[in-house]
Amino acid sequence: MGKYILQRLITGVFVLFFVVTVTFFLSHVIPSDPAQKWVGAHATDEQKAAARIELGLDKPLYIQYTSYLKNLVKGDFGVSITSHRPVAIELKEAIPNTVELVALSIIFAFFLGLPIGVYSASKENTIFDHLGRLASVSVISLPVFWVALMLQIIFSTGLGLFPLSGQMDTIIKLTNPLQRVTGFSILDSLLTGNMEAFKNIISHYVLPILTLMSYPLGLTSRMTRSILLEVLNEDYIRASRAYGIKERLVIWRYAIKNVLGTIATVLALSAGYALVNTFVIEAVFSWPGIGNYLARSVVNLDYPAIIGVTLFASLSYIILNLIADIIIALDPRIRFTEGGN
Amino acid sequence: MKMNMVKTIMISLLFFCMLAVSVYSSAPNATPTMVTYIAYADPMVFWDPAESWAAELIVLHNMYETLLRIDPLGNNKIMPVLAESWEESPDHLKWTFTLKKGVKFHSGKELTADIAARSIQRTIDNGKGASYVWDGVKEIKALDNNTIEFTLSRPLPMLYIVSSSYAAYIYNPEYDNDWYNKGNEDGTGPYKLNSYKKDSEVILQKFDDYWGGWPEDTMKFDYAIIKIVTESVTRRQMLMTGEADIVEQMPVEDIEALRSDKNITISKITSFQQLYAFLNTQKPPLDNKYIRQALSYLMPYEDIVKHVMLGNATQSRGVVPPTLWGHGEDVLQYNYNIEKANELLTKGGYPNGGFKLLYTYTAGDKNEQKVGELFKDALKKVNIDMEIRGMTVDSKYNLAKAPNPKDRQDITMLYWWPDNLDPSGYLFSQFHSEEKVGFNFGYYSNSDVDKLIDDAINVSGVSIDEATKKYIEAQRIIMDECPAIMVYCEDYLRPYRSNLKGYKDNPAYPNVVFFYDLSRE
Repeated sequence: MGKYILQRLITGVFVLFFVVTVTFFLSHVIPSDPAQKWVGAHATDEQKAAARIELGLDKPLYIQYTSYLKNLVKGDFGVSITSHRPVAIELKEAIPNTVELVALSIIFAFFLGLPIGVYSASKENTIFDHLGRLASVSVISLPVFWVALMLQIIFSTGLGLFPLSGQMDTIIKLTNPLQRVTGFSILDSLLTGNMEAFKNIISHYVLPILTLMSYPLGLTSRMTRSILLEVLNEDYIRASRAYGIKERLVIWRYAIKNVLGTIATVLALSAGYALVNTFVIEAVFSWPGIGNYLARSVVNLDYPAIIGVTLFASLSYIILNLIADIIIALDPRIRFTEGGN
Repeated sequence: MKMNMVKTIMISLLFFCMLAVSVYSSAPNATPTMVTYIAYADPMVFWDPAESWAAELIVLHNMYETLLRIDPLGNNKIMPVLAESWEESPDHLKWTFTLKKGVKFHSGKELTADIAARSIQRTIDNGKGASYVWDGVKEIKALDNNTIEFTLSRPLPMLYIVSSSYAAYIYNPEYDNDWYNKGNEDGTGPYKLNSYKKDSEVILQKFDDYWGGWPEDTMKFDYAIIKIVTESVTRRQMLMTGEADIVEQMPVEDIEALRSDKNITISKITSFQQLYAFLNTQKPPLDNKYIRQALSYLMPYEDIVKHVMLGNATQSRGVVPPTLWGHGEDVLQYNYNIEKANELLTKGGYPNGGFKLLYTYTAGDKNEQKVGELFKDALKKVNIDMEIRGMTVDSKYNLAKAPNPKDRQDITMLYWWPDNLDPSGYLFSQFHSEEKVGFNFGYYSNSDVDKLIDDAINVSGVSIDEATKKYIEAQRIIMDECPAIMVYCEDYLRPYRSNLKGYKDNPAYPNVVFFYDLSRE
């Protein structure tokens, strides 16, 4: 098992290397003038020429590439062309905000999707089941940015229940400033005992989480239902029932165990999907996360920032895939080839 | 047991949700007053006031001040800010400005004429940003504690220069570029920087020692927030819910949709922003003047103003917008006229059209795109085909600056607005001969026009009337030769909450909201 993980990690490094290379060269073939952006639209030719040297753009592409790689190994992602700040710092600020969002969405999706799926399966072909399926299929199919806008219109502009956008009200920032400990807002507000900030932040998380969890929620309940239906036809379930064990126990103690593995795998993978979705919905919610950061960087062709985000995204994918594989591997029925038989 | 854990977590999550719903209503007490302005992109890149030449001004003009401010909509009235009086020598080569007394920087330092002089000198020496506005200033010195003297090498319209929207800020020159660009400031403005979060918001806080004071009864704001919201639908909704007080930019459709909302007022002024369609005068068939004139007759101006801008623009007349000096009301204005266009096409040797043009615009700019589509339709009627190509700003410029003029586009779109209240930029940057392509995307070169523009610039320090005559003369020639089609001059539309008092849009300082003038009813 350990050997397997190690093997996967080494492959991961190669994948990352490949991603960096492709992104680097792609972002350099697109016609763009980073030096011009660096100095601003109205700069003189001398200023531009100076910027070209400062940014190393006067050197051949392969030298730029090797020096980029060298810096990257040291953890230096370069400097953003539009903001003039180190990309590493900008990523460090943005990543926790997105990770918190994605993680919470997945957690909610799991703990809501599972019971819905179980209930649907146990009431197979009733009106609840049909409605549940309809709802699952709908939330899977709806484009997230549309869901985001609808939620805003209904719950914010219409009912006034939740704030429209942002992560925290400015007024709270001024009256109860949040001390940064981990970079994760909810966690930080709890750790520092800042309840005003905590309450405010929570209210800002509701709509983005609802939006992001819609897809994994639909998926979880659909999958749970279909797998459970299969499992419920197995002999051991029939045997349990024959022993007179209560149906609730049959499902929640014996049947569900065969569902969890698959669902966990699916969720790990859909976390990757949720990460991609943040690229769209963070703009709608003005969320200070990695998605918003990428959207802006792409528009400005800010290539150090683009490569930085791409690296983070591919790293997340590699890790999430690894997690999914490990979950599968936890099933004692799965054996690795190097494990003997 | 495992399942019990699942249940516990589920219940706690449910509790979490309920908490989230219940807490939103509880607001903190004793709240400071604040005004929120929504920008569509982070304005802050260059924090050094000597260097800033872009959107930073919406923040900088609240932290820093200029000697004077100008009101182009009020007959170019000059408003004293840091200078309270000024004088011009009879030979137009010396200007003295008397500064207000008791002005403090945010750092506590007192403003003196020496500091003001050194700050302007630093901007000039830096040579970055819009420092060129000071071109022609030979020497700046402090005569005493609050008198500053400018010695010029040629007469200049100094009142316009010291009230420029860029490069005219008075700041603390003791600090260097590094210090500023780390996100620091030291100005004399009514608001000082509280905090800044990249791509999220700039929080400004009132400066207690501001020379203008904070009278109790005026209800000025304690905080001014500039929030960055990229999504226009979100901007619109924030305004509707009151989360925002005023919005920098919004698509005209969104603004029209807000008209029915009683809580929202829409400010509308004629801006200095004009849209130009440059015609490549060095590539057939547009190297032919008659063909260019024909195209000028084929632009459907009325439809564009009505359907693209929903009435929030006026058709341009000449190069200079109507609210800026240098504009001529009797300069030729083309109108849509297919008969005349046909005549000119025949005269130019293309009686049946039959050629193809390439129209480039900045991808994402809906207005430029729609103008292109309407223009394409109009051209089709005379059998001219046009490809509309949306490009990133970079690639658009790269194509426009291709070494061989024949490789460049036929038509490209450009907006222009001034750095200070002077029409020279409109004419010099866009229509004066250039050795290397800058913004003259018509690649137009006419020695008569060059001379008129140069003369106008030189005489503008002595007599605005003389300069205006020359600028108008230059525009007459330009309109006849058509290196560009003058499309429209935009209105600045700015929706804001009706309970906000004191807001006045000043086109000399594009998009700037002077928060000190505002209060809530």
